[in-house]
Amino acid sequence: MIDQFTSPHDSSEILGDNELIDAQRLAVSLAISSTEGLRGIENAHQDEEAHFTEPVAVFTQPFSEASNEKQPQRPWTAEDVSTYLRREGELIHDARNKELTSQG
Amino acid sequence: MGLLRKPQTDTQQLHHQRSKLLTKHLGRRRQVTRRELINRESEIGRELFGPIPKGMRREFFNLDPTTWIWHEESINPKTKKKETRTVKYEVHKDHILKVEEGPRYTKMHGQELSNFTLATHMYYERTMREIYNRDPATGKKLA
Repeated sequence: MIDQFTSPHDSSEILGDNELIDAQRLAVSLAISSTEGLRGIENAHQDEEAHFTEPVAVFTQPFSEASNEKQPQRPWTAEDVSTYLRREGELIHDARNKELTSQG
Repeated sequence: MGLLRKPQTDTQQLHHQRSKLLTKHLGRRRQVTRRELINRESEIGRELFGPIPKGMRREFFNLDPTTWIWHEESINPKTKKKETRTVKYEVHKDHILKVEEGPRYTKMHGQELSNFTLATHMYYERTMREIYNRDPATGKKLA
């Protein structure tokens, strides 16, 4: 799929004006309700209709390689995954902010 | 209400026209907004899961450091009505929480979590290189 990527173009050609913002609004409303839901959360069974159950590939890379940190190679723990995802999210967020501020 | 709205609309139009003229005059590119950057990222995100069936729209993007969004729209062939599905993935300290409409909550694990992690990794690698022109390993600008 990576080879099929084409250069980004004007977003107005991609999405309707309100469509993405609707998703964001929903995200906000879900965020509020999820705080309440966390109180009673259980280890729910895997969703049969989950999007990510279609194997993209199996993630087997040792934590130390993926994060560029000197740590002993070991199977990923749940905290490792969260740390890694949070780190990626922060770097994307930083890149966005730098892009916006660089416009002057 | 109509009397109150009209001047506001006129003002907005005036600002818009002035902005366009100024941009044309200065020969500058229009400034990109955060939302537009996310849209561009989602162009990459939607490709990570294979070809999108005709008539379907898919978005997958990082909303903020701890939130990922999956959004899918399609027309039901039987009812001819638009069906949408939005899923939010929250990154918590020691688990990833999948939040579906309802709301319905699921802690991700196993193959689903592995695939989600890989998808976000591919998204990260590609957006950093192809949109922000940055080295994914260091976050620094590429030459």
